[in-house]
Amino acid sequence: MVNNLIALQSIFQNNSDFQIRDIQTKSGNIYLIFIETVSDYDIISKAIIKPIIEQKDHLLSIEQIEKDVITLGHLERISSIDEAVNQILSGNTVLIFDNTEDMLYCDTKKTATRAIEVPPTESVIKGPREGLTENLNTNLSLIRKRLTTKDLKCESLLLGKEVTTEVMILYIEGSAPKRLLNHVRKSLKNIDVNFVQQSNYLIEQLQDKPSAFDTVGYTEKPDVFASRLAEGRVGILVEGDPFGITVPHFFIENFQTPNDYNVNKYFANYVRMIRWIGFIIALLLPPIYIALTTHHFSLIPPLFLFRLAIARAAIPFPIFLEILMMMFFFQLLREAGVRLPQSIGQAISIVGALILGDTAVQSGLASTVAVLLVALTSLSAFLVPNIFGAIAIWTDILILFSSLLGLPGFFIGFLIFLSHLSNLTSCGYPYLYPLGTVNILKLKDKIFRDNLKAISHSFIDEDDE
Amino acid sequence: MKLKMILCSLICMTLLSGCFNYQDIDRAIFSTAMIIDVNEDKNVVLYSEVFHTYRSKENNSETGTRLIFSSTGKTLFEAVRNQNKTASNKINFEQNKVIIFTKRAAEYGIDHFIDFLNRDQELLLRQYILLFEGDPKELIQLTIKQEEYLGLYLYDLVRNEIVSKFYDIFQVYEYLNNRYIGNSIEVMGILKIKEEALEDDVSIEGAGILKDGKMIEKMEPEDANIYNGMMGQGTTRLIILPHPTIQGKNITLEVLNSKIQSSVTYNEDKITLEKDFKSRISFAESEDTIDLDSPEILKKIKKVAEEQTEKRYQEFFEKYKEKGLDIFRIQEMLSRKYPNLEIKNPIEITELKISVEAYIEGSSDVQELKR
Repeated sequence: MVNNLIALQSIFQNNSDFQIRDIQTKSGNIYLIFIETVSDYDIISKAIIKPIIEQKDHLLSIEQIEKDVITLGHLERISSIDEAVNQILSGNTVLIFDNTEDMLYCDTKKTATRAIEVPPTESVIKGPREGLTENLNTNLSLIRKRLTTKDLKCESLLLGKEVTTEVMILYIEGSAPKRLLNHVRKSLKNIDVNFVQQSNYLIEQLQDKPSAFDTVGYTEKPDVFASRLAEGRVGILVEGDPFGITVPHFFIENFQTPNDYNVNKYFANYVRMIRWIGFIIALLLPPIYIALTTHHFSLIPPLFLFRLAIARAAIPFPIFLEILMMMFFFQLLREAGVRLPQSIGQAISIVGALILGDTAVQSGLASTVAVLLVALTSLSAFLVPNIFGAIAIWTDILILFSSLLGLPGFFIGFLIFLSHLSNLTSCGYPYLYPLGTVNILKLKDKIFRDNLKAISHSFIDEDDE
Repeated sequence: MKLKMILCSLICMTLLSGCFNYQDIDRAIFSTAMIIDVNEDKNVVLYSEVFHTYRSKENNSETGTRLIFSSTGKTLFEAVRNQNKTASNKINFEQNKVIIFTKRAAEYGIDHFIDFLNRDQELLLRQYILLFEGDPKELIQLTIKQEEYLGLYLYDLVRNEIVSKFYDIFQVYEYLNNRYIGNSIEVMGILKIKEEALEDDVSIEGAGILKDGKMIEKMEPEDANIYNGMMGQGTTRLIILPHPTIQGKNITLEVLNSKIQSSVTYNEDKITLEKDFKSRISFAESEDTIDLDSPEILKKIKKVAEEQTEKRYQEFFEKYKEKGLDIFRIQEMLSRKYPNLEIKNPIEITELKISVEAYIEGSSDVQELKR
């Protein structure tokens, strides 16, 4: 109907890529409406325009065009203007007919996407190297390739009030707990945002409590995503985001990497142990150092104490300020390294490591011990990149407690830290699960991993359902 | 949750505000050794060896140096306060390793000072206590090449395996415990500057006997060694015997360790102190060839060693019995076994029964895996 056409023209006015193609047939005019930048013009020409022109001398009803003329696999009838607008914006072509109010939309989406590449944040020495991309369908195919089971379900949702984005909930039926699935569905349906540009909108929606620790997992690797689904977790993919979300996500998973399952298990466990030690060093070393060097001199061996005192003899700042300052310098360096292009970022790291540390000591801003401590702490924190931010925040909090009250303060701060961790939940499951919980667990991949065949393929307790 | 955390932190900070004693490590002067002396007016003279850091203008670098502080006061606390009056930063005693009482201070009574050593929060109870015979100024100014700091040198010395087996060196907490047990007689190691040494050196030579915190007598090094052997505190001891087959030559045995079982029995105004020694002895040296495969020779050595040990212990016991000094802790043992028995000085009615059993090992036996 011409009314629909006028309405769409009015909605899309001032859009140079908005196109209307008019074909005159014996039955009346047919208007093809699409946005050329997101629609595949080739498909429109071959599968819509050409067949219609070939049949234009015949009397054609909308049913005949839908069934016999257009050669596309996916086309549907629509009746409202709003629906038509959504389809046009998605890259589809809407057909308006002179003689009927019904409209047709044909799937003619053309999306610019990059190829499947090695994920930069989760590189592995051995194992699959494919990474998720920004295209939802490509991601789904990468996952389906790994989980060829009829039980793999993917529920599609459109989220966002102003701009809708397609989101897919993936799970394995029978394996994913219903309670978890309902929780995810409910949380996503209740999301109150105008648009969902990236997965972090959903991550924040799924976080149960505010915390520096992420209680929602994310990965760029389809094999990791698939294996988490296989364990019974629920995954979420967002159109336009190369990170797949998985829930629940536990604290111990921050110490597990895809590489752990691709290399010798003894070496994998050795490296995991190093990661745990790194975490403890990064979190606890600066506050313990401050507590000992400002409150508890008797706990330091005398010769080491003398060395520490000599190293600090010309430093004008108190120890806690010196450490916080050096940690701040390091954060500056890290941020600069991340923001700059990779080649310059590396140069910045070298400048930071070699020059800043050395000159800080020479200029009397920091002692050699402080530089060593901050370097060691930062290096250790990099071993567990997923909780790097949380470590940085909590280390600062513990430093504050240690500075005020020495070791008693440190222990108070550490207990608050532990209480916070144990209070966190991930989609209703304790974040520290299986550490510090009394549940009998199927999960056999805690701190050390066993043989792959011995690792359970479900994380949920049998009584959990 | 947030409110709880904030409240918890505030409560802790309020309750533990006494703990707020932030002090940077370089803003303290660390004492490593204290020498406590008394002058003619019975005022306390305190010498402290300290470690101090500063930025040197000579070579424009941070450095640490050894300083000596001295002060006097009516009490030890006042002497410490007076010392702080001349210090650029507060003197911190958390790294103090040794407290040395001069002979004069010990004779005056170390109980005059022990309360401060116990009460002060910086002074740790694990510090060692030594007595010193000689001039304290000479001791504190001594240049010992093995270690720049006297306190650290003595700390290592008293923990040296050989020294610790020969002498029992008290730590502050041990002295505080022992003075309330038994008849409060203590035997403490005496430090002495070695006059015959080629370089400045100190060693522990003999012991001082303290009764009620006052030194009343000195024990010679040989006696101190026997005493420690008898009390099981010093397990290493040398036994030098005449060579069993060659006249005029000696052999040396080393007591590696002794298991001592002591018991006391009271019967009709008579106390019997029984001590059973089972000693593991190593054949250390012979001045001439000796056939250690010969059972007769070994038997002879064993017999002589046992007899000599028994004789020495017996003579030593009789010596102190005559003096009426219960250094063998008979009072303590008696109080434990007979809590209601009250005898003023039990050593006067005590007989010693000794049985010594020696196990001689050849010097080729593996005693330490590093060899």
